[in-house]
Amino acid sequence: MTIHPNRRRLAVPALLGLGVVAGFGVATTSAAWTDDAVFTAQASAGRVDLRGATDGSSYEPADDAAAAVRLDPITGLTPDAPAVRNVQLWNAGSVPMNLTWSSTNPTSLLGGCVDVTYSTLTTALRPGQAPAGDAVTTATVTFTVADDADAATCSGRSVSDVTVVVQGSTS
Amino acid sequence: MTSTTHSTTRRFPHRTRALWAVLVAAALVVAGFALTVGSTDRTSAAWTRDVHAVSSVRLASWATAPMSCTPVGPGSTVAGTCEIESAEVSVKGTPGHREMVISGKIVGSFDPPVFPRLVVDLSELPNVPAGWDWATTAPADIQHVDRVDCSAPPIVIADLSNQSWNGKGTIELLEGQSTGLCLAPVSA
Repeated sequence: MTIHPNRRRLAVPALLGLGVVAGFGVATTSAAWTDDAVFTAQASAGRVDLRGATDGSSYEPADDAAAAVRLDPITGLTPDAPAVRNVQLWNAGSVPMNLTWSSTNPTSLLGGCVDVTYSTLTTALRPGQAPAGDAVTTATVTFTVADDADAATCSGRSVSDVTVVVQGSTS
Repeated sequence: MTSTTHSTTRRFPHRTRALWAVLVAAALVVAGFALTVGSTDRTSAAWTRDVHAVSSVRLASWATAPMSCTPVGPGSTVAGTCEIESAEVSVKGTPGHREMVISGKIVGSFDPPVFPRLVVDLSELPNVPAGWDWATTAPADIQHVDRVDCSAPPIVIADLSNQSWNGKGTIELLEGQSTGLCLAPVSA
């Protein structure tokens, strides 16, 4: 019977320790995932914002296909004259961004009549408050009809809504 | 005294165990903090922004011979063989109201639903009149020539999917028509 008070004394610091662990865990999780103030502080420390344009001035977020940057349509594509379309990209965030083409971008259109190739993108686009200098780069898409493309199966064909995506990431 | 001695001798191990409990708690705190930081880092590493761009692509019409033939199957696949042995153009009528008949001798090996698609480069054929009014051109017989694309003259593309072509492909075009059937492109 004289052991119980001693066990209670032993249990007190242990429970306090667990309480500290549990309390800290909850507080940390809350701060990292649900506390708006903390999240905002993190965001301001590393804001991510990539925008695109075709005229070098009207930059848009273009976050999805519905808001995509509209490139000039390609018409009259022939085997001897590839068509090139450029997208200017501006790192409007506050941290450098690595740019890559999406793996889902098409490399071939119209049953192989048109090859689609992509330029090499910068791996560290610097941030800038204005779309100028090192904060801007150009991504180029080239549409080519193969020299030996069959006229009967390729000539005169068309496809709409060809979407290409540039992905920017902070690492 | 006995009781006091007993209590003294048991308190020391209790302090040791309590100290261990605190140390374990501290270790868990550190581990939890590291886990949280790690999670935050991974989240930060996954921050991405995409830029979407969209366009459309339309190929011009071109020909690799004055008249070529391709057997076209479902899904625009090529199925079989088809060649043009000879081609010619004849024209009659007055300017603005002329009829042009393009014909070619077809030698091929394919079966329905595969049909011959003809691509004609009129700049490579004789007897094509200058000043032909393509804006008012329409096929003369849409029943025999299923589709005609004259949108990029002098290239004319015709699908003979409804024709009993019987060794001869014929495209009849009329000038001075109000309809734009000739401008309907061949389907993709």
